Order: sequence, then C-alpha cells, then structure tokens
Amino acid sequence: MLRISFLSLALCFGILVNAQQDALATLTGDGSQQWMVIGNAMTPKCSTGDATYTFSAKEVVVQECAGGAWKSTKEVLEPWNAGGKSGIAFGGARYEVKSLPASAAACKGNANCVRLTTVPDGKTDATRSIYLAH
Amino acid sequence: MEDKSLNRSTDYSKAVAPFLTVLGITVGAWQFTSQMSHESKMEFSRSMYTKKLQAYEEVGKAVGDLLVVPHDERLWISAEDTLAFDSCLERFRTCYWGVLPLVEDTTVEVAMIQFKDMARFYRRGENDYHDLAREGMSLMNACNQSLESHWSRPKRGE
Repeated sequence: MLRISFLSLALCFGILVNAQQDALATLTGDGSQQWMVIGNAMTPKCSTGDATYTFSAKEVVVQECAGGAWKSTKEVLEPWNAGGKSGIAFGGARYEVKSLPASAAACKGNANCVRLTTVPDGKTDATRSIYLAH
Repeated sequence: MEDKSLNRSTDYSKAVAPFLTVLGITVGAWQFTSQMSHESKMEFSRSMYTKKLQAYEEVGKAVGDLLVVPHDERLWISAEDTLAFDSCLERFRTCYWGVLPLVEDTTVEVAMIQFKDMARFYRRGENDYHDLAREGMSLMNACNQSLESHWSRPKRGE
C-alpha cells in the first residue's frame, strides 16, 4: 500500500516537472530563442506595441518599441505550478504556455506559434494573451 | 445583643436583594442580546449560503450548457455549433457579471475567468474540447470547495 502511494506521488511529481520543463523547453528550444509578437511591423522602424522576447533558462530579455526605438529590459524567468497547472513567471506575472497549430487564426500562418496567457491574480478580471512566433 | 445582630443581617439582606435583582436582570439581558446577535449572524450566514448555492447552480447550468453544445464532444468546434456556443457563452458571461459579484469568492472568480478564457480559446480553435471540459470541471470543483468552506471559515469581524 505504502509503495503504491509513493509510486503515485512520484508519478504526479514527474508529470508536474515534465509539464514545467515542456513550457520552458518550448520557449527556449533547449538554449536561447527569440520570439516576436505576431503582427509586429516588419519594417526597420518599429511601431508602438511591437515586442520581442528572448527566452533562456533563467531569464527573458524583453524588447519593446517605444517612440520608434527598441527598449530592452531583462527579467528573471521562473517556472511555477499550482492547482494542477504550470507555466512560467516573469515581470510580476504568471503565464501558461500553449503551443498552437499554424491553423489557429491568431497564429496568422506561423508554424512555430505559442500563446502566453496570464493567470488571473485575483485583483483584476482581465487576463492578457501574447501570441508569439519565431 | 441577639436582637442587634438579627437587625444587622436583615439590613444586609435588604441592601443585597435589589443588587442581586439588578445583576440578574443585567445578565439575562446580556445573554438575550448575545443570543440574538449569534442568531442574526447565523441567519445572515445561512441566507448567504443559500444565495451562493443558487448562484453556483446557475453557473453549473451555464457551464453544462456550454459543454454540451459541441455535438458528440467533438475535439474542435464545428461551424454549425458556433451560433449555439456563442449564445451559451453570452449566458455564462451574464452569470459572471450579474450573479457572482454578490457572492464573490476569489477561488471561484479565478476559475470563472479561466473558464471564460478557455471558452473563447476553444471558440477560436486554439484549444480543444478536453481543455474546455477540464476548465469546466475545475470551476465546479472551486464552487464545491467554496460551499464546503462556507461554514468552516471564520467570518470577517468574528
């Protein structure tokens, strides 16, 4: 009986760790990977709202466009899990990571497409979704 | 000599009797007030529980309606289901904005937001039926836990 309990516990822990690593591996590609917000202007001069995210194991470099120029910030990247869910956390928000098929309308035909959705923090009713491609 | 001590004890009893009467009345009144206060608190808690139960039943119905729209629990939404799905999602949103603020519970609120988001994602073809059903189940579990904790949780100000 005790062995079965330990086995179940280990299995749950394994699934949890695996899910966290999946989210991170998707974004980092087992190294460092730059993702662009889908719909970014492709012209040399950026426009407000454009952003890129470069994920690596421990940090994320966020480049945001402000006044036609890129502004870069570095955030600590941490995995999280709670209530059977998992994902990554940076910049004071927790995100769930989901790989999307290229056929999803939001992906606009991009084959490598992910969605980062903020987890509600109990303070606001709104959640935010960021659609990224590389 | 004996008469004097008898008189003195009579004087004492005369003085103590009204004091005891006043004390008795005060204790009785205090007990009555405290009992009434407890009763009214319990009554309020009971009515809140009933309201919560009704609200969660409404939420459960809205979730169930949304989940049965896709015929044969199809993994992805089909074109013929979108109209009915939108109508059910509207009803769920009405529930979210109209009923829940009255019986607000943070865990339920978070689960409702996540279900609402997932319904939108399913509608857009980003998530499949299993994800939607999982969020629906999480929401109903959150409602269940909220009802269970209603009586065990000490109320604010108690």
